[in-house]
Amino acid sequence: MRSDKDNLLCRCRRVLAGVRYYWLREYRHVLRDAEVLVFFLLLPIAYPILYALIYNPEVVTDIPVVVVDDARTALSREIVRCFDATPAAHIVGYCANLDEARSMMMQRECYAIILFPGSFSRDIDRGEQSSIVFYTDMSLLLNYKELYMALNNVVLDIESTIRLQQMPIGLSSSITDIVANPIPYTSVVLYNPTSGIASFLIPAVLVLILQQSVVLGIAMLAGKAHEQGRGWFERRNYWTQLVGRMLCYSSIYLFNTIYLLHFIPSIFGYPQLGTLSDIMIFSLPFILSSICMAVTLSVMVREREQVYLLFVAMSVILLFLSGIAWPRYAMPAVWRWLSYIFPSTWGVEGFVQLSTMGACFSDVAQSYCHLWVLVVFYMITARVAVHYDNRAMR
Amino acid sequence: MLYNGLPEKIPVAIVDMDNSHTSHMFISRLNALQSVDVVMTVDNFSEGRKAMQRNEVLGMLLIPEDFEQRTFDAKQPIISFYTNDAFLIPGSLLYKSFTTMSVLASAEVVQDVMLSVGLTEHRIMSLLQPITIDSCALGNPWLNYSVYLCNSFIPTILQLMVLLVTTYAIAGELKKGSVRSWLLASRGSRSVALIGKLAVYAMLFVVVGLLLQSIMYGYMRFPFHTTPYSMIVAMVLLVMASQAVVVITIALSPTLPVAYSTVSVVGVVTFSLGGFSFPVADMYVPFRLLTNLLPMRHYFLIYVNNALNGYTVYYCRYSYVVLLVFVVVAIILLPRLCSVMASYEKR
Repeated sequence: MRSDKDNLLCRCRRVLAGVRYYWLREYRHVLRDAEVLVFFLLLPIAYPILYALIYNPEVVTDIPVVVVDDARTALSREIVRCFDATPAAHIVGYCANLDEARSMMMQRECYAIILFPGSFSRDIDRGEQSSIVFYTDMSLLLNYKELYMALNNVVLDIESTIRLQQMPIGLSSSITDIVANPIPYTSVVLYNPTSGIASFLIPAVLVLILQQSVVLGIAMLAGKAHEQGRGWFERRNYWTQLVGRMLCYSSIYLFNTIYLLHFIPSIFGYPQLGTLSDIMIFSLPFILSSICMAVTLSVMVREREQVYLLFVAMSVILLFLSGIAWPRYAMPAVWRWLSYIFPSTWGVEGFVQLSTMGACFSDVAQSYCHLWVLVVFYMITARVAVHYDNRAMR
Repeated sequence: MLYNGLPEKIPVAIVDMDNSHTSHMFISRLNALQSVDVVMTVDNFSEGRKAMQRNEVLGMLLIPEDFEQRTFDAKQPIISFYTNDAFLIPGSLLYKSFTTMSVLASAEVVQDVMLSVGLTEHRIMSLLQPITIDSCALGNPWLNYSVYLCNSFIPTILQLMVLLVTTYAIAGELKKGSVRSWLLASRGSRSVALIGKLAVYAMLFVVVGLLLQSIMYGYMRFPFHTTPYSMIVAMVLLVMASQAVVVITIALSPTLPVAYSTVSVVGVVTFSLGGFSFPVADMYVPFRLLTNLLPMRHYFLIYVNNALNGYTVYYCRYSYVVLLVFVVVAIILLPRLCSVMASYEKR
């Protein structure tokens, strides 16, 4: 009995010593390779800053608009004045006719045209319905959205005044009040108060940068091993090697994760409602599954340069699959199923919930469990992949 | 992927604290909208917020107590709605739907009141909405998201592939030390060797690019208000300019890994810096200047001008010229790339 126990202890100790050996040895591999260091350190540090700065203005303001005012009345001028006062629009000028406005649009001097027909105010004074024609360039949906919402709000506001003016004289104020605005509404935009594009896009990009830098760096290490004519793992103790390497990479990524998921949002002032500890606990399976996925995929890399070819374009597709731009439930089923196998999908979802939306940990339980499932799945695939890799290299 | 054009049936929670006939009518009308799907009715705001944090719903609408009572007493009950802009596209669509429904509900009340003070129905209709906005979304009247996204992102992916594959094609030969056999094929002329190699890849990518264009404009019937030639020329120029970027990068970078990293960064950053989602005019000045260095940016301007809006080529003449400038600069730098090749021959 005693000897059995000793035996077990000895084995445990041996395995742990093995893990420690591979763990420390991997640091040397990483530190000796400048390109790997670029992927593990420089890319996660510099890229988010670049992205954040590109999108830092957050919202579009003062989109150039021209007016063709055939009515030339106080009311049409008031609408134009109110529209100009909204943050979205900037009236760059009045044009004599639609042709002139159109030529300004062709030269990209304006993005939209507002046309008041000649009978605009006359129709309203007669108690008939009148209309404004609003032409927009559709190259950017963001511009259209901002301009249309601004114009719509201005018109709704002015309409209630017109309604009041046109009511028969002698009504009590309670009735005129109800006619002006019977059911007012308040609208609250949650979790992204400015409706800014950076606050919505960057959190997803941060998670994706984490995963992709892991994949690129590890694939680079594998490429180097293959170029030197050896397998990516030694031909023994695969599990020990895998665990040792996972410890090495994840210890490096401890710092990257804190930097990307905590400091970048706080430097650039993105919504940050979660606690650091929640986010770190959540990112553990994310990083581990990314590492194991990277090990699995990296056996495909026969020379270092293939890393760029294989994995750079992947990032773009993963951003779509993460569901940040296009809700996942609205995707065709094939894409939705495909998105399940990437850690980034669950990572983005969970991180946005925790950090941007201030959800508590139980709310992200589903993503969290999925990530642990992916860790197990990719550990097994990694084990199988390195086995076949060694066979192929022999 | 985006075959519906716009996300439909966005999940929404309702907090109905009134539970009256009027509020039920309001909710069922809201649910009838194409963009809204009422998936749950919750008791209070906190529950709705929690559902939102669990990502079960993307918006919530709160109907206050005494909604019906206060409406008929002209006491202006306030409807509140909450949209989740952490997901910007469904969030803003919901905002639009909620606003529309609130305005319609108001109109109904106004109509009742006006009838009661003795206005005629004809008069009421024009008073309900004295000013209509006749919105003409030029080129994409369906507000189809797919038209907008595919036209910018598919060519950008193509550009990324051209950049990476061309770099691999040239730098791969340099690294493997197979320059000598490569030169044998071109009878010793380095520039002939380079141009020959680039031409083969260019042809390949142009074919792929034209195929993509024909799928978008032919099969999927995206707006195409121009002659095919202008877009075909643009595609050829996009491929050549992207190759030119590779030639320039390899010629100027000290080592091959630097060249690889540079083209990867250029290729990926184009997705943001191309100004397809966030307009270039609102970016900081240094970035605004940098966008000119991306071939895809000029292709995008050509596409907007020709295919989407149907303006004459005259208005995007500069974009064609700039794409040509890329090629010219690459030709000027060709001798430098040849000397880089020469340095690898010796090894």
